[in-house]
Amino acid sequence: MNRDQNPTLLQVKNLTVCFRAHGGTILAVNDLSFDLNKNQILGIVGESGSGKSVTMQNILGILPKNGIVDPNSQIKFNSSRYGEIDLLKLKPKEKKWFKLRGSEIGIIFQEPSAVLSPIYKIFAYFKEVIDLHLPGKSKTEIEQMAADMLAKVGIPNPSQCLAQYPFELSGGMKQRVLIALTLVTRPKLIIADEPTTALDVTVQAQILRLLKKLQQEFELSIIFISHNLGVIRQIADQVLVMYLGEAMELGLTEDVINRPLHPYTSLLVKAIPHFKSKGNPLVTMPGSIPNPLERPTGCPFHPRCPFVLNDVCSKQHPAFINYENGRKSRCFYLEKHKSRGVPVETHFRN
Amino acid sequence: MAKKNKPIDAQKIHTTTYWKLVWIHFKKHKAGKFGFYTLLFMALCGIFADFLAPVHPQARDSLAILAPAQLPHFFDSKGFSLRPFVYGIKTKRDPITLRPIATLDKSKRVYLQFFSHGFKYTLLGIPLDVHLITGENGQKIHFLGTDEFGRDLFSRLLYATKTSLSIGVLGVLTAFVLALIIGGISGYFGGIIDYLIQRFTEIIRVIPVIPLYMGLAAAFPKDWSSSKIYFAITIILGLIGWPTLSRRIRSQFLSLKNEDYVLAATVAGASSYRIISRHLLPSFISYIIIDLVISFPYMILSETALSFIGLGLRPPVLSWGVLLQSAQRIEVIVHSPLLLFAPAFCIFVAILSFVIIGDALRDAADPYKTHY
Amino acid sequence: MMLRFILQRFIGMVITLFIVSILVFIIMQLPPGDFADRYAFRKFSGGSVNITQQDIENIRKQLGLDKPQWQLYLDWIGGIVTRLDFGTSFAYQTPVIRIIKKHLGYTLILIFGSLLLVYLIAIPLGMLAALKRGSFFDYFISLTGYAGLAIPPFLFALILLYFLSKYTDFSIGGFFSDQFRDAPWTWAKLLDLGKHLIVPLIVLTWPNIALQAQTIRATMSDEINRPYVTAAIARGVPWWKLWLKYPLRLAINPVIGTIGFDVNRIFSDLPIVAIVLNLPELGQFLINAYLDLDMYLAGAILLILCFIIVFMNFVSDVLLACLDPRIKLE
Repeated sequence: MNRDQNPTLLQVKNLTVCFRAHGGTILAVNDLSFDLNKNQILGIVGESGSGKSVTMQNILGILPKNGIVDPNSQIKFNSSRYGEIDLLKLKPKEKKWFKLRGSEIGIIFQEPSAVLSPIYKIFAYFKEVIDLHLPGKSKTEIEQMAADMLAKVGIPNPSQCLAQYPFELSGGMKQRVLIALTLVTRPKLIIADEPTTALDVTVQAQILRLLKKLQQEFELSIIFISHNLGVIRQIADQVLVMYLGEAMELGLTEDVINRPLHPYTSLLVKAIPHFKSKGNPLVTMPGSIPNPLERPTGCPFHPRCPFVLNDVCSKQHPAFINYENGRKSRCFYLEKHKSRGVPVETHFRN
Repeated sequence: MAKKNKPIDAQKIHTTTYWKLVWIHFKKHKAGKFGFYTLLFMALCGIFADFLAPVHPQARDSLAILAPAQLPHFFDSKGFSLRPFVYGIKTKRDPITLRPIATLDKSKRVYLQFFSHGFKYTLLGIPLDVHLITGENGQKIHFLGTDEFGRDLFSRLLYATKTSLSIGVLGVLTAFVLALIIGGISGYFGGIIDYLIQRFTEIIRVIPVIPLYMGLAAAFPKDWSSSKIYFAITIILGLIGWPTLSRRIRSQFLSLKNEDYVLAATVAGASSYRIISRHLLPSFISYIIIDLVISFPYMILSETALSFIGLGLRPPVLSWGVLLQSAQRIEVIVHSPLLLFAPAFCIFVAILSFVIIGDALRDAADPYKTHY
Repeated sequence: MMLRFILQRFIGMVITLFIVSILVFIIMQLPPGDFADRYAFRKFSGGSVNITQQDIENIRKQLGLDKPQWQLYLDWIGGIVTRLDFGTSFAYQTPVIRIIKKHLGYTLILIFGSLLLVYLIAIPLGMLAALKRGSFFDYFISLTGYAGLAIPPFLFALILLYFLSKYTDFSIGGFFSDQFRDAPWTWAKLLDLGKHLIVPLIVLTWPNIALQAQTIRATMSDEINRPYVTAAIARGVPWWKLWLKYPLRLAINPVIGTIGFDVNRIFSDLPIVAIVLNLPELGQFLINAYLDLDMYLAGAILLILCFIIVFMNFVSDVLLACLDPRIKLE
């Protein structure tokens, strides 16, 4: 099959990652699998401890030293330079990483201020990244490329911006600059790790719109990570719901939000404050996230689940099962009631 | 399983006071304990120098100039002896330089006596003459050899330890008191007085420390008695040490004042007294104690340097620096290296102990460090 | 903007120097008796003439020393600023400036050589220790931090002196071996100087290397874990370039900020080391001046040492501003 015709850009298969910690071993990601196609935005939503960051670290090859990846895990990336490679098989300091990171795989971080060292001008960052991945350009060419990209992300005065230091820019502007910096090398895969969490709400909306526009223009594939389902709803085509390192539900965003197929997802959806519920107390999720060293047996969500089946949910681990419309879910209750013939959609709705 | 024990321990930690916690962690720190006991040992040696010294520190043994160390033995070619002994000293004249050379006379055994009579001294006003170890029949013994005047190095080292350590303590105390007073004035009056005092301390710190000490010490009239000089040196050490301490106290206080937890306590309605005593003082005091402990090495080193040059304590007062004066001449050290290495070793161990204790205290007092 | 910053700091430097000179003057005048007393004593001792207080007063008037303290200060500082006249050394019976001219060069070689050595060694050591945190190397560096404080330079010098004279016939002490001392400058003489500088430099730099290596290790460890380093890795910057360009650049700041402090520390240790190793440079003359109560000489040398320190503080401020744009633009 012609490489370019293969729609799958990234395939995560059975990703399992542990960490050695003082109290014992922490299972950070457990048997996670998902695909990312070209020209698609996949949202990953989950609370802290859900394993979203660890997944991202594995795709970039920056897993901390005390992390152990299961040898059966695979992350297949369709690289234009190296063909289809398993990112997990690359050694941490291998040279291939320096050609992939920043060039084919880009990342936008959460805190724009923390990510830019204050001692270099914005132009210096562009120069660094262009010299690394698109070598041989003259200074004027670099300036041109950078200015073009800055204009595309909505910076009003690109040449002035290039001459400034990061601390002279506002948070929103810095994030735009960072987006421009990531895109200037035209990567195929972008990981956006909570890019709007640190920004004001109004700026947040602008950045989301910008990302959508850029994705269409450059035909990017984006993994958009967030703990905010409302934000995911605005930008992602598909959404993957994670909890305690496991995939709970996967499907088209609107589908998942309107007809959740997992108790956790339905609680998340209910927790989104809606202007219609003005005056009513905010909906919260019962219980709290367990200590990572005291992982629940069986289904990880069962201690907090309103639909828990006592005989089965704490003892066995539900499988990630396919349902219609490309939906997937990991839940015994759902399995039980589906097999009884009750329509899937009715179960977890409001 | 370990999990069962943890909840009880965790509970204990939550309920003990801050100070108890610090003490528990400090005790666990092996190096810290080692440093503490070492210093304690040295201090005891100094305090009981009279009792422990076999020979009077100023006594000149003309038969043993630059004598080698007389180390105690239980066993030699002649057989085993329950009573420890040292080898005697015999003096020959060097045929070329005609200088007397002292060497160990392995044929002669001088047995050691314990709790026997020796030179007189007073302890807490009581005149005594009992010593831990002396040579039999009043013979002079020199565990670490003698200097160029025949004075016993071991005894002198004991007395020097007492002086050097006590000067360190007094110097730090003086500096601390001055820092509190002046820092207090500075903080209380604030405004221009505070500003001037801060500027002044900054400028004093420009002048290199030892040349500054020396300048002040050079001003002592030559006819001052050694105890007067001792007193004056502590004052100087304190005078120069207080700016650093005061600055640290002040900055610590200022930074703590602005901490969120102070704001929280104020908003919760706590009185100023409560805020200061319960919230500010513990963290504040721990840093101050650590600063004080760290200051000791500098005080001791400064006094040693000054005395070595001859601008500090003068004989007959003994300190490590004074002992090192013998080491100024290279021929002397090459012949009797212990004259250099014995005081140097004491200095090294003392300072290392202080630094280790300081580090251990800092680790123990740090609330953010996980001690599990 | 940079110019204004430099100007501000420069003015600060001048003011500090001015106040320091007052302090130095006070130190100079502290010991009992002054130049006139000593001069009178020397002039008349050995003779059968009795020196009266009036005689001393006359001499004092003659030398212009009977004025009030503040005027004496102005005379002194005025002489220095306008004519480089530091007064006369009583012990050597020559103008102080001559002694300074003869030996200042060696002092400068020692101080700047030490500084250079400290940074050349401490920065890589600290960086390596931070990168290989927890390794044996790292532990070793931490230990040297303790040892650096516990073995003061003059003791270290004495110990080195002992081992060198006992086990080698390395000519120690002084700046030159006998045959080169008064010889004209040749490559051989330069080499000899270099050989003799080894021990002083080791001994003087040792505590500062320990301290700065610790500092770099701590700051570098802090910076390595920061998000901007992760971001740079994510941009594909290769390792060695990464460490130098990002964490190290910021980690160096505290070290650059304390250049003046390092100079201060080295100048504090220098005089005694100079006595131990018999190095004819200003520090040694300072101590002898104190011992002889030769206060004009002592004051002059002290003033010069302070001047160098204040100047290096100024240099460190300016360098810091150059390296960190946040300071420049405040």
